[in-house]
Amino acid sequence: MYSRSRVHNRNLYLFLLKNGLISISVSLIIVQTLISLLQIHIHYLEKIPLFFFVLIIITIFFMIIFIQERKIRSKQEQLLAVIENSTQSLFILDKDKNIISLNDSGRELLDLQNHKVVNFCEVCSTYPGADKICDVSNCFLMNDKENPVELYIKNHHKELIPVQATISFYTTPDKQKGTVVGIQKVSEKRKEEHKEIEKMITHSIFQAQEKERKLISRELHDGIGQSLFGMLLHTDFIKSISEDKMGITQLEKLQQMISQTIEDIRYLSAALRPSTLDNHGLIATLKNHIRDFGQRFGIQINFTYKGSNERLPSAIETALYRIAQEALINAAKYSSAERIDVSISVDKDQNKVSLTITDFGKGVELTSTNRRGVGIYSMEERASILGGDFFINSKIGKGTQIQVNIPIV
Amino acid sequence: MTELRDMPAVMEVCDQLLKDVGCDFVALALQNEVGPDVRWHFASGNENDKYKRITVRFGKGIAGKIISSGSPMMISDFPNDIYGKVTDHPIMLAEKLVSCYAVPLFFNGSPKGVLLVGKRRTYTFIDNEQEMVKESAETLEQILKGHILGGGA
Ligand SMILES: Nc1ncnc2c1ncn2[C@@H]1O[C@H](COP(=O)(O)OP(=O)(O)OP(=O)(O)O)[C@@H](O)[C@H]1O
Ligand SMILES: [Mg+2]
Repeated sequence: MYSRSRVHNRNLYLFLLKNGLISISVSLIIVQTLISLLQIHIHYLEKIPLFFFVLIIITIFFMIIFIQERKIRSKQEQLLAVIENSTQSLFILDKDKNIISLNDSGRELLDLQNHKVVNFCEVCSTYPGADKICDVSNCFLMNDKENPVELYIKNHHKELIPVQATISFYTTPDKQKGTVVGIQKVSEKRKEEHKEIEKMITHSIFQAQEKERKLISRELHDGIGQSLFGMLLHTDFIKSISEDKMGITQLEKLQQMISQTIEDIRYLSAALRPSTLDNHGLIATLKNHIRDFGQRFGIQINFTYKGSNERLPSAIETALYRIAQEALINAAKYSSAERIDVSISVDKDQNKVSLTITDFGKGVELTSTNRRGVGIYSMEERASILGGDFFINSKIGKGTQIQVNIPIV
Repeated sequence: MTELRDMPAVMEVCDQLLKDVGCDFVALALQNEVGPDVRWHFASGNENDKYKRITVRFGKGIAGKIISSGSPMMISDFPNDIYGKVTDHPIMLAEKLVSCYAVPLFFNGSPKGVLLVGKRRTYTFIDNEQEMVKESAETLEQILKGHILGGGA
């Protein structure tokens, strides 16, 4: 405190000295101008009181300016010091969520050295799980109703950091709505807890979904499918004892309709969950699926398999089947590819299985806005639940590749 | 059955329709002789050969639906104005069509084929254009009658 006031005084003296010289010369000029303007002739000694009078007025003037300026500056410095030294990471955003300024703690949080982040969306990774998919219209930055919000921030090394954010608004110089985001890290332990819980929830959702599908698929196939088959047999019997030509033609039409419905039921049942997945394994099921899929969309699909005849654990088989299914649907929907390669290889030595789906279509640039669907997210989750990893690689004009590696335990 | 691609009369009708309606794509689907599945046999204005491989089940896809219902159908803004899933419309995806109008072809009184015109942008086919498609469908029925009957049924 003491040294601080000395520094301040030295500033004042310096200020006075510099301005003293200016004041003296300005006073001299004013006095001289006045005298020559008024055309009075006086002795230079008589000019002295006038000179001092002007000098005092000017000095007082400068003092006032100095004091005012110091007041304003100290307020600003205080504010800046608070922002800079705050343990909260502060990001000041304009209306388009561009980061206009951030404090040291913010820079530290993102682990930025010389790199710059332009837009807040680049570091924002919304809460994984149910709400993971970023819905721009629902962005927490757009309203302060949910304050504080829990989310993940992606730092420069693409690591996810769990944080709590508080939002407030300010008016930008051009009268737009700007946002101030205050961010505080959530403890490591809570991060782990969160991730575990999310994983468990997703896992049980997938399991429940699979179980339900299996049940409905069986019910359709064995229940409704079987009774329709019974009806078909019965019509056969009626046909064999009937003598009415017209009746027989109508009966044949009915039989055709029943057969068609049986086909539909079989198809629906397999689409829900092919029974071959349980009975004959992943490879046979995928081969079937790929053949049907290629025929349905007119796409040439090549399948290669490297590995033995041994079955994989059922959880892995289901996950890989669902991932392949989703990847193929995405390729058919978006890529316009004429050819898709699917390959599975089981590495016995490293105890892992890899699945790769490559389409030679138009590719896509994955941004926060087009990652709204659940397709890619669920593929990623299915792999992660089994301790595996997931990569998606896409080049505009070249195509998209999805790769999944899952450890066999 | 001889490939329809090798039938100049079919080609001529389709190419003419493409020009008259001013659309990007014209295709003809027929139900297989054995089984209920439906395949695209001929196309004009196609960007690739996917249509040749597409097989839809009876009742599925645009072709399957028209054959099972026997009535025309139109899509103006795919995939925003469709009933059902995007993946239920393989021919639209394969040819990147955004709009289409399709009518059934009747043989022996029952729907067995589909004539489709499509554009790669949003569009609503007006009455006059719909009429042209229907007329071409009738011409094709005449051309193909002998072919279908002679070949199978
Ligand atoms: N193989 C691909 N080729 C080109 N673009 C793709 C491909 N796969 C995905 N995309 C793009 O990525 C986006 C996200 O895909 P994702 O599967 O996550 O969601 P979706 O397909 O839009 O919705 P959902 O899967 O929930 O029906 C898609 O909307 C699409 O734009
Ligand atoms: Mg998808």
